[in-house]
Amino acid sequence: MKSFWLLPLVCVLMTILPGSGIAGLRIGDPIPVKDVKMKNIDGRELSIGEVAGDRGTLVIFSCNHCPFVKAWQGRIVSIGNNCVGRRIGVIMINSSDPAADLEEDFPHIKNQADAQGYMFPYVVDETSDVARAFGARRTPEAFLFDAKGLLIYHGGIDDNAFDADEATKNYLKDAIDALLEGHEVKIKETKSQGCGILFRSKDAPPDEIYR
Amino acid sequence: MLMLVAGCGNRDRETAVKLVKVIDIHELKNLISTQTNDVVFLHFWSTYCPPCMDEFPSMITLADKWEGHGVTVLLVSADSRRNVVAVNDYLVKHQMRHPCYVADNLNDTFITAISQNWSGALPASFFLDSHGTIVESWEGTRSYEAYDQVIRNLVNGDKKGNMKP
Repeated sequence: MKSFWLLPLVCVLMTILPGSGIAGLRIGDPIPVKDVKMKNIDGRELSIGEVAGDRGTLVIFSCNHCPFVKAWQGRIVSIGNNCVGRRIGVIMINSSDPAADLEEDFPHIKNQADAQGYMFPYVVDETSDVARAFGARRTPEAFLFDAKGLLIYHGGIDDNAFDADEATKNYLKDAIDALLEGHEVKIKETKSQGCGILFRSKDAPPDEIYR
Repeated sequence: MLMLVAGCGNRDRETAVKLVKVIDIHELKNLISTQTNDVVFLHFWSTYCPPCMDEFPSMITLADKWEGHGVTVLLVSADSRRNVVAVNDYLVKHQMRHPCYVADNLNDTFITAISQNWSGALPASFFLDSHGTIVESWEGTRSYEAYDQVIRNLVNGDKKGNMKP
């Protein structure tokens, strides 16, 4: 069984993301589908491009039912709200199918934003195609773009979902700080536990990791 | 050798499982690397994850079915370590009689050590052959038959069809 731990290095180039048939975003890629309109909790139709800030843009795929989202909720809200005041555009996107979980319907989306004090848009990706375009697979999952709209960080919030006090690596916050300070982000990609996005049925699942 | 699906027999069906162990990535790596069974089925789930729970009866059936047939079934929960009692209660409720694990902080380090290509989404399944090579894996749920077929193929491949429970 020794070779098991070497395999990921071999297989890293084999990734095709779930249900999309395309590879996900890579560091340096531009914001995809930034002109696609999505319904915000206030009823407006918003695109990522319209939300983008002049110092950067934070896109977070999230949902309502997921315990991992709930575990990170306070930290996500804090980071998101702080970004708004620092000219980094923030948009939270719900790509999950309410037919798969009623908590993902629009009233729940609105209630969550209100209850948690989101100071940023929380929009509905009605086809899940925005998530597919990003290669997003789970919630929560963050994508941070610089002022030019190029991806500089992709991944989780920090390294401890259930205990903020025990988190030793604040990936997203550190990436945002680096962006604002004009430094290169040190840790550009991370993984974190999360709920699989409840993709609308068009071409998902299968969610194969290797093909 | 750790026979994780070593038999206790049906007499223990009603016995509460008290074998939920918090495990870190180093311990899990060691556990896998010391297996002598021909096939390892590694499955990550959580009591926080409704789709995971929907298919968990299949995991119990698979662990029962392949017990003693060269297959190690490793079920690792992504629940918080504070939730071990709840995990245990869930397993008892479902009459699970095989040892299970709770990951000690399933973070980037843990996930990446399992697979560079696993996003961290749950559930997630990995099938390892006798060489310890991941030959199949996926995120999300599948039917019982889909899981069983992969295991069957691996067992038959390794044992030339001699093991067909």
